[in-house]
Amino acid sequence: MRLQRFLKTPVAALSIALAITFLAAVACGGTAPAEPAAPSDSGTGGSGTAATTGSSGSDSGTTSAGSGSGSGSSGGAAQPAATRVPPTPRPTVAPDATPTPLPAALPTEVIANPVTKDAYPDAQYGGILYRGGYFDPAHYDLMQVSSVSNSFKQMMVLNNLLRYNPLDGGKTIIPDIATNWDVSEDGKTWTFPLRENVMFHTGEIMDSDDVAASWSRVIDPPPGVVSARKGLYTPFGPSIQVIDPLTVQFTFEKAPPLNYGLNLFALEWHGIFEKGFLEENNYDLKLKGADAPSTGAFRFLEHQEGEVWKNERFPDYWNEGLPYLDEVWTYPLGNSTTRSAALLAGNVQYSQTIDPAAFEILSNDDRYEAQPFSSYSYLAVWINTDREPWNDPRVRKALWLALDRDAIHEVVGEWLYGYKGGTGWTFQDQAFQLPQAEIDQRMVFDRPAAEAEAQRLMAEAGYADGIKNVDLMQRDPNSAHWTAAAQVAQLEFQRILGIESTIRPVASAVWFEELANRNFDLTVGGIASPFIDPSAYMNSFYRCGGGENHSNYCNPEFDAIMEKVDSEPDFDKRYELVQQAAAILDADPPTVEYWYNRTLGAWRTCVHGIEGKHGALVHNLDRMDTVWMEEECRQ
Amino acid sequence: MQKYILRRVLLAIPALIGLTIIIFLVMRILPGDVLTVMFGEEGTLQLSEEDRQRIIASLGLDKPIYLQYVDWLKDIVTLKLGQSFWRSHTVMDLILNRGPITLEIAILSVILSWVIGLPVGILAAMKRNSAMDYAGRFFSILFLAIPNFWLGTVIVLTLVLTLEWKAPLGVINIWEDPWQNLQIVWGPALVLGLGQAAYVCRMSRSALLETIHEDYIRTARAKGLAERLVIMRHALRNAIMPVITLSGVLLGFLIGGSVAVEQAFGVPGLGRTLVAAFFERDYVVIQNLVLLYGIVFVLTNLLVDISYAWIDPRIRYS
Repeated sequence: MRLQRFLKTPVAALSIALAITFLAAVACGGTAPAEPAAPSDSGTGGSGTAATTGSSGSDSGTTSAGSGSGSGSSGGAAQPAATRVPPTPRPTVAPDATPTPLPAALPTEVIANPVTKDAYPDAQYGGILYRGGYFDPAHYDLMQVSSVSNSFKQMMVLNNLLRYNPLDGGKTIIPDIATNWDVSEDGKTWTFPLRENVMFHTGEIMDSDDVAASWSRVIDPPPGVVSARKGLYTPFGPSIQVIDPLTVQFTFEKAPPLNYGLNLFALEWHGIFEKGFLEENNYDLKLKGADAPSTGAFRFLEHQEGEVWKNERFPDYWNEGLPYLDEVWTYPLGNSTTRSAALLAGNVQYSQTIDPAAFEILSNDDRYEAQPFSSYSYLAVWINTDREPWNDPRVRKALWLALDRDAIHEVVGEWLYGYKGGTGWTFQDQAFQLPQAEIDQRMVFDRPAAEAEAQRLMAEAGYADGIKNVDLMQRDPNSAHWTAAAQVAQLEFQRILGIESTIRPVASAVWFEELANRNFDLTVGGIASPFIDPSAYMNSFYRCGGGENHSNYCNPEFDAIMEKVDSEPDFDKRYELVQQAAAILDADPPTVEYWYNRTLGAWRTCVHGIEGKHGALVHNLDRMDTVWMEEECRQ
Repeated sequence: MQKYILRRVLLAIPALIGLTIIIFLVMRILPGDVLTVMFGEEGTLQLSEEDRQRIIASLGLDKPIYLQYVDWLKDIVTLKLGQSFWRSHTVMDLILNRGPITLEIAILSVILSWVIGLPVGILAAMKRNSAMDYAGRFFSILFLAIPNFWLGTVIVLTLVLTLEWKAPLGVINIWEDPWQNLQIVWGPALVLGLGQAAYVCRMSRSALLETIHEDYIRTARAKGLAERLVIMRHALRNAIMPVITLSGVLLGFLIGGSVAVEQAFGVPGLGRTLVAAFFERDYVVIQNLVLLYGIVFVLTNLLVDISYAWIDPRIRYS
């Protein structure tokens, strides 16, 4: 009865309301949803990643298509695409995941646009495709974010100058609303003739003023507008000129490498909008970006917040006969388990970032096609080189050797799908990877030798007795894979090196703040590359001042080689340079990389035209204009 | 009675004001940068200090804390409840869109908790230390111990993997399509109802055990009344009071507390809205939803108190 009386008091009301708040905060971890860095699903801020770092199982979802700091010197003129066939990497979790390596270099000759209505001769028109997606977007300006919560819904309403070829999984870059591209001999001038009669969803005709206005906000955004990938462009000093109503020209102070430059103009985070609309909104589409006039195969239909996002076929799309589908509905299902369940139950016909357990079930079910997609995110222990003793290369190397990649991979593989680290600093499903035989022979996988060498290095550095009171910050405690990895790292560092650390879990949003403030000794987390070229991710991750160089690592020798990597047009020579750069990182590791992530997607076999499997960044292949469904698939 | 109600409402005002102050302050000291959520980690790195300040000002976060608080109070008084940081919807829109399905789940789960918990509690009390009592106590403790989000996930996955069935996606209100609506709400209602049934069962058992040893029960039995009538007319009517109190409290919890269960079942109710708002650091939405829960809790308890007078004629509020 006393309880009864207490429960009726205002104090109880207050306490319970606060408890609800607390529970909600705990439920979301006080963080943004995580889509792991492109693999994880944790949301705007969260777990779960164009590159997400996240867990395929967790969903917090934010992704990142990084802001890399590209650098590079003289750009190359056109060179033939390389033909090297890299070795087959070993997937770690699900079967049938052997990826096809991505090309070493993208074609330098203009390829006629193969994306036409005849791309799939048997294609059937019509139907609504129901998809399991991520969270609701935090706002509606795709350029100002790097989140799958936006890209999955908005990329299909946009066009860019160039695009990733959806028919080969993004292995080539093809013209989009540009008819072709022309690069000057010195690589500093890129000219793009535009297609005629490209219509905006409003009925207006697009011209080069619209393109210039749209691109100006990417490379030189007005105050208050954030160009999330601006860092990829600024090292080259870009500017844009309107040559005539159907020609635009970009001029660079420093020529970007051809492969890198093609990627810059193909990133599907950047769309073309009506100039007038942009001006009316001060180039800021955060509030009105959902139905901003653009030119894509689909146009925005409706967003019922928390329920569904609908896009419909644009009947006046410039690429006649496309798209095949009438509508695409995307449900914000939040976490990978929910997306997997919705697919298995037939609520949706396609889900991205499903969990490994569901992937295994779906892979063995004839009714589904399940494939890993490249996400280009990687997970690591970052080492704060601003602090002692972490600025000592011997200590960093000891850490790099001490972490048992097989062990951590086995643990993290419960939630994620991907490849183990310690394999040569390049993403393993593309052409710059080491041959598998060399990977197998690397010292980091010879555990007794690696541990002995790690202990020797610590002793040589003066830390034979270990290091005490180490702050081991962990990203996003709501994503179990981060917690597991942090615990493995803590135990291994203590067992082998005598490093006594305290794990400090923080929400994803806080993690980035702490990185920026350099407030950690070691930290477990994940980041992503915007695209697959080593000039993009190695510069961003490891070069002095790189956009995602969270260890604040600086090695002049490495930087000098990356200068050459950035400007070398020949694939074989570039491959050798990349391996030289990787060898420097081997000797003087900036991070303890333990995981290269892939994201898992699945769809009904009656859905066709999703060719991103084994291809480039999944987030660059969300245009859906070549996707079609058989009659049986229509609900 | 009117005076009593008025007094209770007036007493609730300081509690709600206290709640607004606490939630307002908690949101301001919660770690995490709203701009990181808005632009992503890379985007935030591109922000100049000038841009950062401009955006902060556009969100109204540059004002002194007390002014932000006063602005919010004005929004409450005018029932505007403010505007989400991110979207064009007002918080009132959100509540009107998402509230009905959450309310439906809460009411259904309370009904379910009574339908399951009360009979089990009565039987357990009447057959104390019997197999029935042990079974009732075992299951009540079991459902108290099982986290409801876990139970929800298990139910979802079991249905998907065995029957390939999952509730329809999105929101379908009961007045639009009752059958589809039922498919959406039964799962969360069942999970929440089972958890509450455990409380109801234990509370009704202990209250009944206490009551059946009272003198008036002995008197009723001495008069020769049938045991069923003794229990239903005399014992239960008195024992039910704490159960009603408990259910009132639980209903208040449910309206705001179905966060994890709504997540597990993918039901876009107020709970999921609150989770999303936390992810996005959408202070305006969080503040107003928490205030809503406080108001609901106060009103629920008031209704519970009023119901006492109806159930027990000896109780008179004046």
